Amino acid sequence: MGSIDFGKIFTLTLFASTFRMATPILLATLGGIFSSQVGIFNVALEAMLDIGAFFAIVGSVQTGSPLGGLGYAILACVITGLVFAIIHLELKANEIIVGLAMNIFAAGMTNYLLVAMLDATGVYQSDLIVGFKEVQIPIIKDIPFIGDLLSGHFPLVYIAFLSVWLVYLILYKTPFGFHLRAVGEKLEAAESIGINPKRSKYFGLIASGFFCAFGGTFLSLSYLNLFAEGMTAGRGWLALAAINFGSSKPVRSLVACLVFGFADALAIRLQQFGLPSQVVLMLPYVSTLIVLLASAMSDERKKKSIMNKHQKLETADI
Amino acid sequence: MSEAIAVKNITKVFPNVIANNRVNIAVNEGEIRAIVGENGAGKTTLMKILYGLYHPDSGSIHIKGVERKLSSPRDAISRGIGMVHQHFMLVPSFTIAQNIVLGVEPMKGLFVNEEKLVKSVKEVSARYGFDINVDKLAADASVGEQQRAEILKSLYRGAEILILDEPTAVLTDMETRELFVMLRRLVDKGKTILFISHKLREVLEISDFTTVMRNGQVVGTVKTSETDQHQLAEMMVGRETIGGRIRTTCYAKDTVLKVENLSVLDSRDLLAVDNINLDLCNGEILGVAGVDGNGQEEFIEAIMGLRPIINGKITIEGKEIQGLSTREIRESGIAYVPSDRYRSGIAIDAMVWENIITGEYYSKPYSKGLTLVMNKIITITKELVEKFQVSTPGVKVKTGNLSGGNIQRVIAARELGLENAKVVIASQPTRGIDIAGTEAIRQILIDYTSRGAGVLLLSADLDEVLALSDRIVVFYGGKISDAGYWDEGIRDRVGQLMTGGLGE
Repeated sequence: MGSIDFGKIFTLTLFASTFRMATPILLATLGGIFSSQVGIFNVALEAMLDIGAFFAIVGSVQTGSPLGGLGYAILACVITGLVFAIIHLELKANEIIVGLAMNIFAAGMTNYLLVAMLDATGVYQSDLIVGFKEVQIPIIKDIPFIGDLLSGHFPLVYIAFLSVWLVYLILYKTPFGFHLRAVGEKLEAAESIGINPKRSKYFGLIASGFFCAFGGTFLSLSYLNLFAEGMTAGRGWLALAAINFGSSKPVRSLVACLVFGFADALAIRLQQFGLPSQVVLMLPYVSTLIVLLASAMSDERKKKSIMNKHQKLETADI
Repeated sequence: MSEAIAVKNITKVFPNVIANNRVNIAVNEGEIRAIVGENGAGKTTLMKILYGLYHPDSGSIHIKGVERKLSSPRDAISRGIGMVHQHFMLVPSFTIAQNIVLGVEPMKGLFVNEEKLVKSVKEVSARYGFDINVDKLAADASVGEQQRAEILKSLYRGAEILILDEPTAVLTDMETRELFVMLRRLVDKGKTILFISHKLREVLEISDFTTVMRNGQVVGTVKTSETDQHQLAEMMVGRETIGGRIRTTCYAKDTVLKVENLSVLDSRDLLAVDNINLDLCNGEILGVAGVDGNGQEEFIEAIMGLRPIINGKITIEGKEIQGLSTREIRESGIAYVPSDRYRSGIAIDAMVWENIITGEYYSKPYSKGLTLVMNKIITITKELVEKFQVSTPGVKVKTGNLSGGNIQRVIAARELGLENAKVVIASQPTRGIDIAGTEAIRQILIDYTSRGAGVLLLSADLDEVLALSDRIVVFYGGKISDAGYWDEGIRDRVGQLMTGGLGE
């Protein structure tokens, strides 16, 4: 192969790893969308990812299977969502405070349990951990370019991207989703026709936990097969930025996740080219700022156009 | 014609007030029944009972002759009662059609059948001859369309009896006319309508019978075609309660507060105060009457600098105060007793003494530069507490722990304790206060005028306005009309102006 071909393959790898880097953010985003659609700003996504990543390792070691790890993670994260829901909905604590507290708690708890359950400090890596294997998709894997791009990822990558469609269907095509959105947007309207808003909110938080379990499991049981302190590295917060950018809509939020994933992938690439790592590692965060700026600007534009319309109506009245 | 709905001896008591006192109303099928009365007459309480939002302490509800318990809106809906709230209950990002079927969506497998959804809504809408684009987002719909959507929401769920709470309050004249055409059509199809309003002109236009409520009781029910605005206004206001005139001397001399061409928007950016002029003389009590929501609150808030004005000039003794901060306005000599004590009257978590010094805390005698003069503050607070008969275990008590009446006294003590005020704006100053306290506050207002201050008195209690005021102005639809100086006929004039009767 010549050097030009090498260049092309390199580009494809970059895009392939964009999907990989976007996956945990995307899963947390989908979880967060459920909270946000029922009117709860869930800042505990980071905590849920962290807990998911840790219990996936525990589950994998104890059951000897990555699916067992996923099961443990789901259980732990659903409980986390439930605890959030009880503190916020029954004990009436402010959602932001509860979320922040859970983030601090999750970091402390995983560190503690790392020592208590796995007898490790900081990082746990072991041959006992069984991770997921890459999936080669028949036929597609043999198609040039597309094969390299789409085949050979870990199963959770496919699950994440298929879930975008699933979440879209649930929220926008089922009565259940209608009711969830009604609760988030206009609680009194939902209540006045007999929808129980509290039940919807419980569901929103538990669904957040459910999807974050997948995101956390991806972090610890794909590629690396280890758990490290702080391995979520702010992905829960990036997810919040993606939700904000996408106005809590699954497909629009996916766009932001891909931008973040691309920035991550690019940062890793550029490091190998000898650029100063301090600068390169800023990339994901700079991209977050740009995304948030873009969404704030488009919101502002929308507001202005609504105001203009309003003014036109007023003058028309006169 | 058979009876659609009846309430028998309904009584509902809230702490300190009997909202409904043995109310009896029976409405026939195919009838439009108007229920009128001033604010606080008990109309809304009654409607909430009929929609299962409140539960009566005694009495019974009969639907088509059968006694029914309505313990929730769900019950009410299943018995064929639909409610169109004054504030619409629509989800902005849903289409009109989606809003109408919310909770009872037609299905196709696991999913909502959007096709059938739109079709079934269009069917219902066509059956009743509604002109509405059901594919539009609720957020983009006009107020009239939103209201039609609300009515369709009830009809879609099989409502036979529709309750409309002040349906015309948010509508333009044009939209009101369209609404009336629709209501007539619904009645022709056998629906029954309860129409709550205090706009007598509209009541006379649309209803078959009119029930008048006052102080939680039904004053009477009349056939609308056999009555007129005058009679209804008289029933609403209650002429037999006249009397109790306290005011004897009027000290009015020069203009102290002058308002010229004032226009103010309300929170929804609609014109609430429309080019108003008002002169308040020192030594006079000027009563401001009007049904809630006709611009009087916005007017007062604009004077106090709490709401931006779009046009106009406000002066105190010739000095312009519009555009100044609320603190500067207060310092120029206005004392203000706001009507909503919890929202803008006090800080409920603060202690009594803290609330007493709010507004003056930074100046003498409460403050000495950087520090508060605590012993002075406590002494003054104790004096005021005594003078205004605030019943409290001490001055270092959380104000929110006091009863409503005593909270009102704390506010009165703070505002009316300022003896040097040139203008006193008192909005519902005696609401929730017992007779002794009411008299004390009234006496303080009168004392002000004898010291040369001008008093602007807003009250939902027409008797209070009549008892104290030298002159009365009435707000109606953001405009002001002058009912003139106090004389024997003023109650009638005010009553008519309040419902837009004269004017124009």
